[in-house]
Amino acid sequence: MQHKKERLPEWSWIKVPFFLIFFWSLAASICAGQMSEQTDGQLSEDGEYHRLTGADIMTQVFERHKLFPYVYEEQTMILTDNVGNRDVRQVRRFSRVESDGTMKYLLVFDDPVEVRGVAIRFVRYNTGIVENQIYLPALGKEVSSGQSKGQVRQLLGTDFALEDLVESLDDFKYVRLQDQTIGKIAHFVVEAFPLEKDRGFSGYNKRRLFIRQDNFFIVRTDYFDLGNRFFKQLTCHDLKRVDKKMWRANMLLMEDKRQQHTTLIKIDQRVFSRDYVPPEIFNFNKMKTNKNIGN
Amino acid sequence: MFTRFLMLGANHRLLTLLFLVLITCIAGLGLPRLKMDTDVYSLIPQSHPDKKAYDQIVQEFGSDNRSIVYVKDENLWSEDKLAALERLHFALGSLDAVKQVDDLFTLRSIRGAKGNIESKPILEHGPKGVAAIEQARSDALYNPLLQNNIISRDGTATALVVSLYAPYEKNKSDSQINNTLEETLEPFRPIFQDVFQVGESRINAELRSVLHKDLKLLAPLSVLVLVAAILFFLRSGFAALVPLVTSGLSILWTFGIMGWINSPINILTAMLPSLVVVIGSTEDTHMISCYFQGVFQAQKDHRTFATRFMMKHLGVPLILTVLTTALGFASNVFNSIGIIRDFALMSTIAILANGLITWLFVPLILSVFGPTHSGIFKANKHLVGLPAVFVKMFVHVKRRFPRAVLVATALLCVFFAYQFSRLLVTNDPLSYFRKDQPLIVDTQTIHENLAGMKLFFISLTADREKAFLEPEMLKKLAAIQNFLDKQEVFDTSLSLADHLSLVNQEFHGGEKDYYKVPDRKKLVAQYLLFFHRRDLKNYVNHDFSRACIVVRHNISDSSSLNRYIRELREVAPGIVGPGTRVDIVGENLMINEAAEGLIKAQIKSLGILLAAIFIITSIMFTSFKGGIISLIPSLIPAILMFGIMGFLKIPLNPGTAMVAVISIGIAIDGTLHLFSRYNELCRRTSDYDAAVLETVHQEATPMVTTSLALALGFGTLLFSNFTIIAQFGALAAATMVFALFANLLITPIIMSRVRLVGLYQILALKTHKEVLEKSPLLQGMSNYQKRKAILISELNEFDKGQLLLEKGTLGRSMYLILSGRVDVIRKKGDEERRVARLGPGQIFGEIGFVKEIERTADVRAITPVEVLRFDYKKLEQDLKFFPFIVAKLNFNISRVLGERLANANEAIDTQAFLAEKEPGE
Repeated sequence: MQHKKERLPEWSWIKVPFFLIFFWSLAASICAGQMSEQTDGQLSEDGEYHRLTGADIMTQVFERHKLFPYVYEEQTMILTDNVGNRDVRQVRRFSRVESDGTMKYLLVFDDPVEVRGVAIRFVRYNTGIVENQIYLPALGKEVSSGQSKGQVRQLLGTDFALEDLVESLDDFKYVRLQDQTIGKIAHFVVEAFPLEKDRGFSGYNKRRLFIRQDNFFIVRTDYFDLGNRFFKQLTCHDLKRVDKKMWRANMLLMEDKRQQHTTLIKIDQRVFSRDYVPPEIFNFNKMKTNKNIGN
Repeated sequence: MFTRFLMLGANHRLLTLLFLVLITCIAGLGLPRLKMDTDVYSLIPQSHPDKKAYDQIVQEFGSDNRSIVYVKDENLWSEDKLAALERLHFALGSLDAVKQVDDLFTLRSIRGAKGNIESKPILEHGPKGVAAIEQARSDALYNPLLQNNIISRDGTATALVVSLYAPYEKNKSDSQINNTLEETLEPFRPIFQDVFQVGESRINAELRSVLHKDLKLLAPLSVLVLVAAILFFLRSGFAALVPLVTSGLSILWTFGIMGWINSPINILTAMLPSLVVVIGSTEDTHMISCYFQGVFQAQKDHRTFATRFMMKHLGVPLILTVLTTALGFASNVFNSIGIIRDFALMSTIAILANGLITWLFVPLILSVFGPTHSGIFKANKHLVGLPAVFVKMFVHVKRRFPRAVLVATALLCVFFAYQFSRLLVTNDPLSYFRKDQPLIVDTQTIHENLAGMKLFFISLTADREKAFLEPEMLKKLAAIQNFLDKQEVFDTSLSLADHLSLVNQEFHGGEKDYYKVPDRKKLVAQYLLFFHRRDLKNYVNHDFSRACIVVRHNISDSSSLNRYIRELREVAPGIVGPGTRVDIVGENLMINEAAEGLIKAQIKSLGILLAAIFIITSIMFTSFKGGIISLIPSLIPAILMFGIMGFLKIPLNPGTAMVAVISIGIAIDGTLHLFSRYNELCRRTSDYDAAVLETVHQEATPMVTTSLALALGFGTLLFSNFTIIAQFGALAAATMVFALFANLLITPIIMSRVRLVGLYQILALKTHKEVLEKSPLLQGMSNYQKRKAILISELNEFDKGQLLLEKGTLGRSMYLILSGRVDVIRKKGDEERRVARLGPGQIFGEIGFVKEIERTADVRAITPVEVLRFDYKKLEQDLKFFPFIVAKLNFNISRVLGERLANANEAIDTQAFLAEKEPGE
């Protein structure tokens, strides 16, 4: 709101209403601004949200949060077993989305020292095929571990499956359920079912996603096994807005309820920059000599 | 006074009855509190040195309390069967008592080929399609960690290993857990060819159920057999009823006390009713038999006389036998194995209770309702039936082959003593069941198709973190496993080394040459990234400072298992080297190692019992020789029993371990009765052979009755569903027969060759101490010499009017009067003339002692008389090394003779003088 610049008469009681109007306008615009930040998803008319389908919601989710092409993260990964023993790993994560929709991910271990340089790379082609390779520096070579994302469970001893990390909007059929309010925040609830072509490869019958309505961020995912039994849950914490609409969680907690084991991923640093994720980084041969990756 | 004490029950009937009723009521109130406990944990001594290490290892690596669900089907690898298997997996996992399920759905397959590596559960979900199923089957059969462990060689059988919470953790009993598992399996039985589960909960539950059946069957059967046996031998319904009542009360008191003190019924104490019925009837039968003798002898007031007769003759043996039998059981009361300790305590209480009841109740009931006629004692005193056969056999053998019998028995004992060295020992709960029991058949099936269900841990603890990332340490695990393979007795062993070897192989394209531990620490750490913590938590701890080898086996024979474990314990430290501790622990190991404690406990109990018997009988006979001799008839059955066990490979287990002690306790009962009766008879006759024969004659009926009734009663235990109880029954029955043979054949032969002085005699001598000191026969002798001379003599008692010596008979005995008076009488035709009246301290028969000639006069007791009889031959033999004592005795005899001669000459001179004086004066 622009303030009209006027010469006001010298102080007199007639100026008070103008001050009041000024301050009220200022306050209103600030509130309006806040509202537009927090609830840009909540359209002024409530009926809009009711008309959104599961696919619509997920489209919003992906468009806002999941498609930034170059992300570099430094992560601390803490694995905790059922009696409280902890394993701590330091990992760097590189992700890149190519123009043809191919997604590439690379995880490189920095700590403990015995596993420094271990790298796992997965590539999801726009056909849906996922390839992944693992490089073990001590062995001096990489090996592939299958061409289906569904074939890798409990990736590297964590509670994440490969398909938890590599997913695309087109991989699922979405069904919207009744909205829920959790912690005074309204959430969409959407169930994601693997498409028929992927059934038999996925380890899940479905996932149930809890998406904040204010920012379309998935804060919780419940995983159901092929017998439709709930057994795993991912929750996202310490949400940060990184862009106009894009949010990221700085802490992810995956809990395997059945095995009473958890994996906590803490993002220590995140950089959205192409320079941090050059294409050659995904080349293992280059990786072996690249000091940035380590060996 | 002692007789009054023994007759307490008969003399104060109302008070006695009130007392018995009161105790019975109090005990009865304890019965509802009685529980049953078949937990095999009670077989582990609390003081076991490995228990602490075991508890730590269990906490770190998980319990060895696992049940195996076995599933077999020829078409296991089909869609519907695998779908059913998955349902079973989840059904088990959802049970409250189940901690974890390890099976094809959770265990990892790692396969590598042509640059690819796959790491995933064998069956994460029921695969669909032939190709997927075949792949899964191939993965399962390929994996060496699963073969003969989770999947059989032919792939048609698989195991779901169910780790359970301990019953106390979930407030459930073993029976409840077992029932839950069975209910869960029930819907799957029609689907698969074979489905069952085996584990500790089932073992405990079946122990309990079989125990119930045994109690319901065996106790009434024992009673029936006992009643029939006693009825047959004693021909009296009353005689059969009395043991029932005394045993019934004893059992009620014992179980009531158990209820009050929270001592549960276990597999050993479940034998108590049978034991009490048969053992308790021993004394009752002796007493009834003696009562009938009293009835036979009574001229009026049969019941009172017979009851008093019975208690007078059997009071002391009753007390002694109750004490020795109780002692036999009690000797195990400090055993480190809980189950044996409980049995020792409760059986001691049962025997003491039975003794108390017998002492009070039997005289009470007999004095009021006792029969007034005896079916077994006829006017001609001839024995009838089986007892008569035994007596005839004894007489024949004793007459013709006494030495041969003794030698043959000694040789037999030597042979069986040697067999004892081959005795096996076992404490394994599975060995309690018969081989055809479903539980045993099922465990055998698992062993044949997969791996034995018993397991133990070999834990290696290093002195630093991450030790088991080092290849050298991992190779030590592999080396120990190689040693286990060489022993060829264990089914499988699994460790971290196996997991890493498999990964190493697969990362090299599946080449078998690479099935070995990686040679670099970094490679180990990187391989380990492929495992979830869950995959390894049974094999290595979190900081990799401790690793565990899980060994599965099916060995039930404790001595074999203990031998192999001992071997392993000797070798393992050498393999691991300094700085690494090796612990070899497991619940079944501790149970089996407790078996060795059984032998030690047995030897200790036997030692204590024999020592106690030796002391008691030595006191009784005031002679160590007597103590040793009375041990012989007790040792013979025990030696024969152990020898037969070794010969027939019947193992020593918590059941059979009881037999030796019980058998000695019972055998000594017969021995004490025999010796007691024999000593009593020896007081009245100098013909020892006749005394032996009379002893056998009198004791044959009760001994044959009790021994055969006991043998038959124990024999009923052969119907038990537990092998240990059936073995116990068979051995105990055989031991009763051995004891009968020893008591009715060997003991009398020994008795006839040995003279024993009884406590009675010594006590009697003590009361006549003054008489002895003033006696001219023992003048001038030191106390030691007097005692020596007295101990060679025998104490005889005669009633008023009885003839001690008869004129014209030959005899080499001399008599010293302790109490009473005798007349020395000369006969001339019909005329009798008293020559002398002798009293305490004086001797007679000394002429025959000095020279074997016909007695010159009769000696008759004019009051009840107690005398010491000195036999010339015995004195000559026993005192040949004591010439001074012999000389002294001879001197004193000479002096007595000289004095008598002098007195006689004086009497003759006086008579002659008076005869000369009479006409003139």
